[in-house]
Amino acid sequence: MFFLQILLTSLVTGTEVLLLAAGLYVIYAIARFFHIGLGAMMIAGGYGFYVFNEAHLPFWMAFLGGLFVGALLGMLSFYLLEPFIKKNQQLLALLTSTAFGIVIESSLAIKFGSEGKFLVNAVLPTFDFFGLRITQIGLWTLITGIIVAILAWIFIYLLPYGRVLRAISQHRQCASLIGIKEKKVQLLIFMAVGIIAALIGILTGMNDAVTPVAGLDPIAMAFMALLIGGVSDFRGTVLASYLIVLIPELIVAGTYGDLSFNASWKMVFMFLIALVALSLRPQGIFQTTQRKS
Amino acid sequence: MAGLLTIALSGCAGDDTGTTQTQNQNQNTAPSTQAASTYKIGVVTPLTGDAAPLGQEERKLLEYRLAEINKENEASGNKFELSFEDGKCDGSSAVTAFQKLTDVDNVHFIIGGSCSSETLGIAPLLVDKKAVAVSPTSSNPDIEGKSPNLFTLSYSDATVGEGIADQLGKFKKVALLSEQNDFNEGLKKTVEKNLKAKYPDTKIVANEEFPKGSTDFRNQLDKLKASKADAVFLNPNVGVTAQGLLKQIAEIKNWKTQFISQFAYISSEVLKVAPKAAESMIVIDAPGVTDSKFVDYKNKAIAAIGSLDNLGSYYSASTLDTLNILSSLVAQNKGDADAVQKALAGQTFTGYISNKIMFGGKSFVQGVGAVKFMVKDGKAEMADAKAATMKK
Repeated sequence: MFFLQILLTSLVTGTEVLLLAAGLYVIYAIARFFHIGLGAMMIAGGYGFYVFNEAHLPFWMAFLGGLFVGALLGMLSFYLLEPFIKKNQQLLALLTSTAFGIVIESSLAIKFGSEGKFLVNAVLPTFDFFGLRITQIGLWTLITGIIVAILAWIFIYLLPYGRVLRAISQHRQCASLIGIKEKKVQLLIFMAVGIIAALIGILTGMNDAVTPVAGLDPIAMAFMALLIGGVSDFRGTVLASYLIVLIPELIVAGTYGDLSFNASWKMVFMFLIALVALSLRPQGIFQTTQRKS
Repeated sequence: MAGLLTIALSGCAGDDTGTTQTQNQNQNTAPSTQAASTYKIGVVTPLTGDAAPLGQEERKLLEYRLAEINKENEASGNKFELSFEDGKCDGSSAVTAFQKLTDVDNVHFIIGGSCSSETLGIAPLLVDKKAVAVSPTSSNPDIEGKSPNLFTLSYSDATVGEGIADQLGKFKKVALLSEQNDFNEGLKKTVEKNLKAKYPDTKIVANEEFPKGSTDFRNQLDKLKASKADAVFLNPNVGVTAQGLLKQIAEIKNWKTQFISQFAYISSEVLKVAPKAAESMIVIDAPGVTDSKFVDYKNKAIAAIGSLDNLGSYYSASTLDTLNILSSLVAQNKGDADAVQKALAGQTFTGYISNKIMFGGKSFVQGVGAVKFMVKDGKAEMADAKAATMKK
């Protein structure tokens, strides 16, 4: 029962990582670079909610306000990064994205201080079933993860916009030649990813607390998940997102005679998993190695 | 305000260092021949970060008292200025703050650090920079002897750790949960050492740590619960971390264990996030300062500047005492850092925390004990009324 409880609690963290990794995945698909600034955008969404909530706006307005911050930052990051994306300067795009994230984090620290802020001040209500416990927000996070994954699948594989997205992903120049407005699609994707990042920021902040640097660990984990899963296979990203959260949590939860690991070991185990996974399957979990001509 | 607190340098105060004071001066009776001067005192305290609630309260209390001191010193022409720098409750930031104060602002007298990490960070630099630091709140036992120019008016965690071990020692199976920073690590080591030495029958069945600034403790709490410990020692830093931990404890139903903690849970501001979960928690801390002069002064200050709940009773008193003693000595010794250091090491002072504040050549103020508080209806109340006042 104890390990099931650890598993359930960790599934919430895994879903947070998955949603962030999904954002990284989609942006990589259309722009061929890793948008590391997403971690800071996620936290900015949480702070957006905090500000509107502190202004005593109704819950739903504060929630939408937080999402709006995400969309805005998504748009801003697109216009900042677009020149590099256009010229295929992935390294410069990566550096600019990182700098963008640092600016957001520093601005949040200056404005709000580096101490944590609770988005919900009261003790969180929990659901208890069969001896297992999950917070209401944790459950919402799991449900959100499932909904977003299903919607993303429908969008990518069943809707015309998804075909446009896949066309850009497969060959940007050709997509332009057949009349696809690449810039418009990219802008919309950046904004959508910003909204999803903000959504995770709000949920994480409600479940725990937000700090200006709280996006660092999740974006590092999401990045690892993307690399382990394979940058062009979303199934791998999904699986890797959960594996790199659940395995370290379960190892740390155990006691091995006199040996036991504290929470600081989680990141060590995560990077060890990444090291082993990338050594054994550098192409990704599900992908097969392609023959080079 | 002169009458509220008179820091009298006691006459003929013999001490361990062999220094003997023959003068008897009052801080408020400045010699008429003394030239008017402006003295700058630096303050290194966490103004941002998880421990900011402590640092911010310290700042407003110091500023409040400073205005009074300057008014009291109008006749002598002496004026004091406080220069605040953010130590962020960590060693490296405290060193940066200290260097800014000493190298740029040319400050030789420091109040702080507030967190033990800050104080331990600046300790090795004090002699070289000819600076003297007095911390109102740093409690890590490692501070002792780190520098002859370093003093702290806090009780030592060695004392609190012993008190916590005495409580944990009443149980057969105990668990520890600590934050990874100098204050909490130091306290944890002291508790472990005392448990091993005094209570060999008490077994530590879980010993968990979490990184500084963590916000999710659920898996660690479940691990502690699964260990079936009779008592759990909660050892987070002050502020948001302590609040977050308490909130997440409250999510767990049917966890029957005795929680034992330290200063982090002395504040009603922290306890109010989950008063039911905190009910009956034992908190070991320095005794509350119940001297009527202090209580009156504190109430007046709270009316003017707002809550001092995070500082609590003892640290509010020690903060005031630090400024009073330091400003008095700086003026008397005309800003001579060596003379101030010698006076601190050797003399005895009167203040709110005690009638006989003395370091006796040590870094820690001598004679401060620890007492047991019990949380009741969201407030930590002293369990032993006899220990209500400090050893005088």
